[in-house]
Order: sequence, then C-alpha cells, then structure tokens
Amino acid sequence: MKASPISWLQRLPAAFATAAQLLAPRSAVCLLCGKPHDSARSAATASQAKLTSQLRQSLCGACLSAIPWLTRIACTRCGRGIPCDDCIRSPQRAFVCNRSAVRYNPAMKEMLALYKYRGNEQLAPLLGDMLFPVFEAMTAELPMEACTATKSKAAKRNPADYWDAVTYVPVSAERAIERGFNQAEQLASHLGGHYRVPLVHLLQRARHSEKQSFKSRSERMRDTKALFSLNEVELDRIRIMSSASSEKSHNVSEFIRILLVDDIYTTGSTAEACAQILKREIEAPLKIYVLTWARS
Amino acid sequence: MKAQVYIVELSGAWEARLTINSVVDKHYWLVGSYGHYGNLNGKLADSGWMMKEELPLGDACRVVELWGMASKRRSGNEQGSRLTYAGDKSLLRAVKQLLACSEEVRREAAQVGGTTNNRWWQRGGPRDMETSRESLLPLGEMWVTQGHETRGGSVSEDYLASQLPGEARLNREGTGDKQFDRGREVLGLEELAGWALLAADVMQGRALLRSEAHALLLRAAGPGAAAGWSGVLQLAALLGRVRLSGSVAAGAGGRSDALRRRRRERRCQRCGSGEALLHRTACAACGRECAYCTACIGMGRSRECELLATGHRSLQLESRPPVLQTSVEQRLAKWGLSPAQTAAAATALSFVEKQAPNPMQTSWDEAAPARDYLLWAVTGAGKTEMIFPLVESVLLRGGRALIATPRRDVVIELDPRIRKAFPDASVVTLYGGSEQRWESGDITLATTHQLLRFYRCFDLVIVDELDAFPFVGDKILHYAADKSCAPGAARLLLSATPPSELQRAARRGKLQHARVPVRYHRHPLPVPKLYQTPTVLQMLQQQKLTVKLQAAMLGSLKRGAQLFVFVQKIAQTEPMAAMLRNRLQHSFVEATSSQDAERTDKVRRFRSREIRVLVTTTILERGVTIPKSDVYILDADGALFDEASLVQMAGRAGRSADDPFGQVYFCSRERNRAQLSAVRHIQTMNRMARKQGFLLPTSKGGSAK
Repeated sequence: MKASPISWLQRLPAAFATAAQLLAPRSAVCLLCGKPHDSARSAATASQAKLTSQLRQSLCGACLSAIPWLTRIACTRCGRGIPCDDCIRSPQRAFVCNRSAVRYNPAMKEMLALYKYRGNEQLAPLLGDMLFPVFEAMTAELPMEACTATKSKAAKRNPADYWDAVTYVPVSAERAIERGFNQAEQLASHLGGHYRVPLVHLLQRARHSEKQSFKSRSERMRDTKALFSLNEVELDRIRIMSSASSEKSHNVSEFIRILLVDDIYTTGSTAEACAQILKREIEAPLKIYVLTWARS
Repeated sequence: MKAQVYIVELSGAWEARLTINSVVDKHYWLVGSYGHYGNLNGKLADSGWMMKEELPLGDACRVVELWGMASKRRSGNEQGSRLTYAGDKSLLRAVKQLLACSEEVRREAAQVGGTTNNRWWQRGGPRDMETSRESLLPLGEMWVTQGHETRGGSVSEDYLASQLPGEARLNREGTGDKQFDRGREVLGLEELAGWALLAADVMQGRALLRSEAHALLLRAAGPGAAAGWSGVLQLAALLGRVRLSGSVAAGAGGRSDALRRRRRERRCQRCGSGEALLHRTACAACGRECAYCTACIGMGRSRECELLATGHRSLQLESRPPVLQTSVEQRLAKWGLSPAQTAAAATALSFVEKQAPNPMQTSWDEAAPARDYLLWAVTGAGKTEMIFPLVESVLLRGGRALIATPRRDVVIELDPRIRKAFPDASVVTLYGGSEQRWESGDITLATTHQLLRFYRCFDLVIVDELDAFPFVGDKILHYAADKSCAPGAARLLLSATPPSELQRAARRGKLQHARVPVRYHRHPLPVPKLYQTPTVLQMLQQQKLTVKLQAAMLGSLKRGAQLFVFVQKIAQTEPMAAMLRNRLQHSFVEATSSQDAERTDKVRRFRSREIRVLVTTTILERGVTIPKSDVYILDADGALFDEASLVQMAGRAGRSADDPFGQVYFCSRERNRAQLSAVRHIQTMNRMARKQGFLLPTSKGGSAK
C-alpha cells in the first residue's frame, strides 16, 4: 500500500489532535476515585502503552490497572471471555459477532453507573477511548473471515476503509429527556470521530406511551418486537453508501459493513433486535457487527 | 427541561413570568379561585399572552430577568407613560418586548455554546422582528378572562378569538362549556391547591433538584401530587412560596449595560462552583448545549436546564418570647456542666440570643450574613453537652437548629444523644442513604454534604469538627454551610484544633470565640512524650521495635490500657499488627483502615475490649472514645500528621474520669515542627486551664510521668 498524498492529509487531523493533547490541561484528580493521582506512576506503566494518553492522564494508576480488559475471547460470536451457552443454543444471529472492551465486573458497573445514571459526562471520552483497542482488534480480524482472498500486508490499516458506517442503539425520547444524553450515541460518535467512520442515526426507539396496560397481549408482543424502528431520513445516506461501497478499495463483495455500538451486552437480545430491523428494512446486503463497552 | 414564558396585565402594567405548567398559571391569573380554598390570587390579571415556543428552563429564567431589567429601565425613562398605552397597543408593545427579550437570550446562548449545535435556535421564531399584530400574536396564546366585561381592554374578544391558533381556540371552547365538568374541575383544583400549600410548607428552607422535589412530594403528599409535580410546584411558585430556577445559572446582579462587554459567569446555584467546574455538553432535555456542575454531581446532577426549586422559609424566629425570661444561669444549670463548660456555654448562649444586627429580610437575594462564633474546646471537653443549652434556646423561640459534621459515623453516633437530651423535639438525621431524607424537624443532624439541599433554613447552625476531612478545604461544603443559615442566624464553629486562619481571626478579635482549655473531668491533657525510633519501614524490615518502645507498650498492656497505634500508610497497618502480635506476645492485636470492610465491627470490638491493640491510620483520629487508652504515634514526623491531627490523636488518651492520665508517645526519627507545636498546643491549653482555675485542686499539673 503506497502512501498517497491523500492518506497523508487524512492523518493530519490525528496528528493535530495528538499535538493538542500535549497542551490539554491535566486533571489533578482521578476522574473515577477522585484521589489526586500520581502522574509519575501512571505514566510509567508500560503495559498500558496501547491506551490513549487521555485515558492514562485522567485515571490514576490504581483505577487504570483495575480495568478488566477482555483480551482473551472464548466465544467468537458474542465475544465472551468464557464459553457461552447462549451462542451454542441459538447460533443464528442477525449480526456477525459482538466484541466488548471490558468484562462487566463491579468496578466497571460502578464506572458505567457514574456515567450513565449519575450523568457524569466527563467520562464519555474515557469510555469511548476504551473502545479503541477492541475496535482495532476487531478490524484486524475482519479480512480473515470476510474476504480471505485479499492479502493485507500493511501493518496498520485504516479502519475507515473497512467500515461503512457506525450506528448505535437508541433510547426512547422520554429517556433522552430524563437523562439528557444517549450513552451509546456518545460512544459511537466518539469512535466514529476518531477513526473517521461516518456516524448514522439509523435507528430510533419507538415511543412507548403509558397506555401499555390497555393493549392486548398480542398487541404488546408486536410492540416489543417493534421496539425499534428505522430512521427513514438516515436511510438515504445508507443507500448512497451502498452505491459507493463498490468503489471502495477493499470490498469485492457487495455488502455494507455496519458497526452497531452499545454500552453493554448481556444476552444480546437488544443487539439482535436492532440488527433484525436493520436487515429487514434495508434492502442492501448488510453485515452488522456489534461493539459494546462491557460484556456481562 | 423546558419552560414557557408569558406576560400578564396587572392593573395596567405588564409583568413577565415563566411557567413549567401553563394551565396552572392560566387559571391562577384569570380565575384564581380554588374550591374551598377560596381565592388564592388577590390580584387577577386582565389578560395575558403566552409564548408558544418552549424555551430551555435557564433561558426562560433569563427572559424574565431581562424583561424585569428592561421594564425597570423604561419606567425610569418615561415615568407614568405606561398607562397611556391602553389596551391593544399596550399588549402589542408588551409582546414585542417579550419577544425581544427571548431573542436576546437566544443570542446569548448561541455565543456561549458556539456554533456546534445551533439547530435549536434556527428552528425558532422569525429572525427579524415584525411589528404587525397579525404576525406577532399567533406566536403565542392569548389569555382572556371568561367574563370579558371585567376587562378594561379595548380589543373585542371575538377579534382575539379569530387571532388565536387552533389549539388555543379549542381550549377556549372547552372552558366555555363550563357546566359540563365543572364539578370535577373544582375538585381537581382543590386538590391542586391543597398539594401546593403542603408542598410550600415542606419545601421551606430547602433547595431541591427536580427529582428530589418529586421524591419529597411523593413522601409528603402521596403519589397524586408527585404525578402532577409540575403543577403543584408551579402553583406554589405563583403563591410566592417557592422559587423555580435553573440549577446552573448566572448570578443575578451586575450592571445591565455591562452584559455585552463581559460574558456573565455561570455558577452552580446549589454548590456555588464557577465556570471552571462546569462541563458543557449537548443536552437532549433542552435541545442545546448546556452546562452541568461536576463538583456536586455526587448529590444529583445540577445543570442549566434542570429545575432547582427553592422553598421560602416563612416562619421567622421570635426574638424574646416569655419562656426565655428565666435567667441564663438557671437554664444552664439543668445540663450539669463543668465550670469550664458552663463559662463557655454562657458566652455562646448570650451570643446566640443577641438580636441579629440587621432585621430579618425577606427578599430572595439579599440577607444579613450568618454571625460566626468559634468554640475552641480541647479533645474530650464535652462539646456536645455544651451545645445543648444553645439548641434549647433556639427551640424555645420556635426556631430550627442544625448540627452538622463532616463525618457520617459522628452523625450516627450523635443521634441517640440528641434524642435523649431533647425527647420532645423532632429530630431528623440526614446522611447519604438516610431514611429520614424527606422529613423536617426541630433539630436536624446532618453530614455537611446534606447541607447542599437546604437554603436559609436554620436559625442556629452548629458545625462540629470543622477542621476534619472532607469539610476542611472543600469550597462546596463551606458554601453549603453558608447557604443553610437563615438570614442573621448564629453559626457556631466547634473544634479542638481550628484551622490557623480561624485561630488568627480569633486572636485578632475578628471572630468571637470561647476557649474550653480543660476536659470535663478537670484533669489536664496528657502531654506527649517524644521517643526517637527508626521508621516504621525499618521496624517492619527488622521485625523488631526499639527496646524503649517495646517496654512502654508492654507497660501499657500491663496496666490494663488499650493501645491505639497510628501509622501513616494503610499498607503498613496489617504488617505492623502482625509484628506487634509477635513482639508483644499478645494475640488481641488488630489492624483497620478506611479500606477495611470490617472497620465498624473492629471498632466495636475495640470498644468492648476484645481487641487490646488497634493499629490504624488517621481515620480513627477522632470520634472514638475508649475509657482507658494509651496512644502510640509511629512515624510522627511523617507528612500526613500535621499539628492538628497529632493533637487529635493525642486526644484519644485519658478521656475518662477513671483514667485521666493516659499516655501519648510520638515516635519518630526526627522531631519536626508539627510534633513540637502539637506539644506546645497541649501545654498551652493546660497552662490556661490552671490559670483560670478549672483544674481539680489535687492535680499538680502535667500528665503523670
């Protein structure tokens, strides 16, 4: 792969961001435990070199090393660290696979609660940064399972070439008003912004009125099935992409690769529901990958 | 959340208001009667006009504020000319002004938020101000009285009706059909008014976020009121008993013409944090970028578009009811205080009962500051007993007292003592996770964090252990402690080791104070002995104590005392305990620290003498009272032990009358300033006690050597 002037230009923003990071104010205390952090110690941790500097600077050494990274995967489908009964029982999924950044242990539960329920949005870039390693690993896995024919020699591939769009699991309008933000959307936009993958707001959660009790069982069943619906406005962007995807260098086959982001993967039913809607409503061939922050 | 702004015409003058539930406002201004509660509004409006567009709450507040400034300016310029614009013209003019205000606010918001998220204001009303009524009035909803013969305006109602948008017309037709559901409506109104009055009562002196106010309503008035919380709070606000505002907002004040030049500083209205601690994010609740406070996020998220409901405290403290005719001496006598305690309590009491310098003010923003009084009492002086007469004085005058302390365990420990001392008063104990969170009482016991939820509530505020973590150096908690004082309230600061700036203020006569230099048992404080020892690290490496130290510890065990062993680091507690177990040949040695899950249990076992030696960190430097104990402070020259904490730790020894001569050892490689000044501090207190004759005559002074 030759380094064209365009790819150089594309790297410029990243270089600027890195340079700006050097000037960014360092917070004096750890964002998680609130203790003043020992910058000497946290900088010296060599094993965490793959993490972004922002992550290393805003957390103290103790909190950083307490993150249970999910590096060893036992279930290739749902990305769990241990063999997974669910996936053996129901192997048919609408999405290709799920990968998660961390194991959902009590510490991570607390971290997510701080962000999601307490509303400490300062943590959003941190959680977003935590997705980077797993996203890169996921991208590296791709050619092996998707198009083995293409040989990829380049050590560092540009993930933007492999992904057509990143989208997220939506929240209902009521929840958005109550919470003020959608954690999955923030994570997705952070990831998309960093790797220059376009963020599309493909899905929306159907508004659930309080009149649920007046509905019959079958109506309710249908309702829970139709929990998500497609955002028609954004659909056009996907159509444009599908026509453009054939021009993309990497892709011999005719499908669109979409990354669906969520904060936590428990049983996979949310991801499954979203993926099903996408597959059903979009006529173009899709490959949906799920990226979650935590795997419980 | 979002709110709407409207204007009402009150006897010829227009006034702007904001509402979070416009139906309530409409009824309040146009009808004003609430079933058997009668007419709650003494000043009905002739007409009104409400902007249809919903604004972010903070912006709505700002619109009302700008309107107020503008009309103040105008009334200054053209005195009395307002009334000449009667009827239609006056309405148009007011509408125009309101729209201009909201436009101004929009511009301000766009300046702050930058251009990243400007969808919200692009969608809004017309950019250029049109002046014809046909273009202006449909932007809002017209409010007119039912019986329009009472209206003084010149605009005919039919004409107005034709101007009204479809939805509003429907509403009007609905209300026109009054026979139809009048009964139900009145019932609903009565219910609403009852809830609003109740809410106004329970909200008194509180500053609550929306979710907290909701929880309070649920608790006080039941699920019905909680479900209609916005209407209930809105009516309470209309009645002037509750103030609704954004939780992060720019402070009022400042010259209005300076706004253009300098951006207004936003602050968290709950904890007082400035821009540096605010974090601006896109907000789905108000549709634009809005700031939230990162400083007090542990107590719920305070943000620009979040509702902060502040209850006005209507009850004022009576200055001298007949009950207080009994003399100070008589009132003090019943508490059984020692001479030193009595002397200090008497001066504090006269301070508390002194008339506040300024008369009570009822306005929201200006008030006399709290009057501070420092009670500097040595460890074990019996501070809690000394505050009883003060609390009693405030209760007798019908006021509310607050006892606040930074530490939760102290609050829990204080609770039974206060309840026992004041069996007839209602006591509310507040801490994170407290059951009594939404109750109010005569006496409130709280951690300092809980004070964030109060606003000018207490006539007497007692801050205990004010030099303890986390209160010391925490601006939020200081702000909260200031905010919780009612105007002109007395505030009593209690400490054995006041921070140096308070000591200085007291010495210079800027801060009124009383010192209690002696313990309640009237024996002198044990003076620490300084031992030279290796560091804890070295002792642990060599697995031995120095001969002198080991002898002293064995001596303490032999005389039946319990041993506090303080070390600097949490990591050293366990190894030190293991070594002591070994060296002292004693199995009842335990270690505890802030990270120990069994801490409460170990402290309990230490109290019951099951544990004889407890190795710990500064976490136990205060609050724990053991009758017969000796204190060993290892690495006393370490950075974590300053003068105050050395004095506090030394204060663990000799607290009971049965064993007043506990022993204190500062063990370190070097003697540093902290150790010497701690010793000097203790000796000064002893000397002062002897001079004032507080010590028991048998005592020759100094600690038993």
